[in-house]
Amino acid sequence: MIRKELVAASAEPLILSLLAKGESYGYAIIQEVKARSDGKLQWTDGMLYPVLHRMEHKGWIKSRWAESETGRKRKYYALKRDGKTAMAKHHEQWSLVHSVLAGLQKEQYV
Amino acid sequence: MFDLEKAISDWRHQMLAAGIKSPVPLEELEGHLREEIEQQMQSGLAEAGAFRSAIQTMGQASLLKAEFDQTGGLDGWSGNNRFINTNRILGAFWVAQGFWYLSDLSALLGQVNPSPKNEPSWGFFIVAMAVGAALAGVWGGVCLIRGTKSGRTIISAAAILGLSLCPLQIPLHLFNLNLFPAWITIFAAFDLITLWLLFSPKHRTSKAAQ
Repeated sequence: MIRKELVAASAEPLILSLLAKGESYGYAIIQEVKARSDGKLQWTDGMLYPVLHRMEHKGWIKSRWAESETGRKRKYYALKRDGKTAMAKHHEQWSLVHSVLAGLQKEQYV
Repeated sequence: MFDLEKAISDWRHQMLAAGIKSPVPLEELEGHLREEIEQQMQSGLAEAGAFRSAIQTMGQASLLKAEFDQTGGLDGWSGNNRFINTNRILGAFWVAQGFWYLSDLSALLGQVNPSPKNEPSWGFFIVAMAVGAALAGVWGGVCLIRGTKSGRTIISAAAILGLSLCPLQIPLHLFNLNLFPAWITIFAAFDLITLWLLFSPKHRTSKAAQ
């Protein structure tokens, strides 16, 4: 399991990156994150929505209500231009952290 | 006998009691809960077990409420974040004021221009600036209502521009153009109130929390 602080910190970049592939809704976002991390990234499901709403307030994503194929109402989220910029910044920062960590790890085994 | 609909209704009441009153997040959370229950039932759990498992994954109502409060409040006009509601009311006033102002100013533009040599007069430039401020007010007002980040910046700029235009009425009166009626003082007061609301320490704290 991944520590909750890291899970919380990774929420925004993960959501932005998932929405970059196309619009989606809360439940599907959580399922995809679970599947891609083999269940190691476990969010408390309800906590996703405050994050989505915060990102909407920031102007990174937009939302619309639509009916699913089963007739259930779902709120779909899509990436906005500011969201793409935010995603690029997140990727840059996470890549930097990753490269520093990888470099340090490499030095330990030399 | 377990009644799923009653259980979901009770869960909704718990959420409401915790303060998640706005319809938008509650509808969204309920939709998620129902999908999770369906998923659990498809994987073999009975209704009661699926419901219990689903509400556990949703998280506690009080924690959810706290998270929503940190994000800048619950969506919707009935949301309980007063800063967002203040912004929306302020935005509505700016839209109304902008249109009212524009209707007067468009008539004034014809009066102050052209000068005898068909060149734009000072009065024309000042009224044109006022038209710009009014248009910015309408646009910024819409942004504030929608909760867009740029709304605060646009309205601040429009309020400062509006305030800076107020002293210009003195030279305009000297040129006998009589551009600005007495209610300019009301607009000046409105501009000041707007700036106070947008930049008051409490509001800044709220923005920082986001």
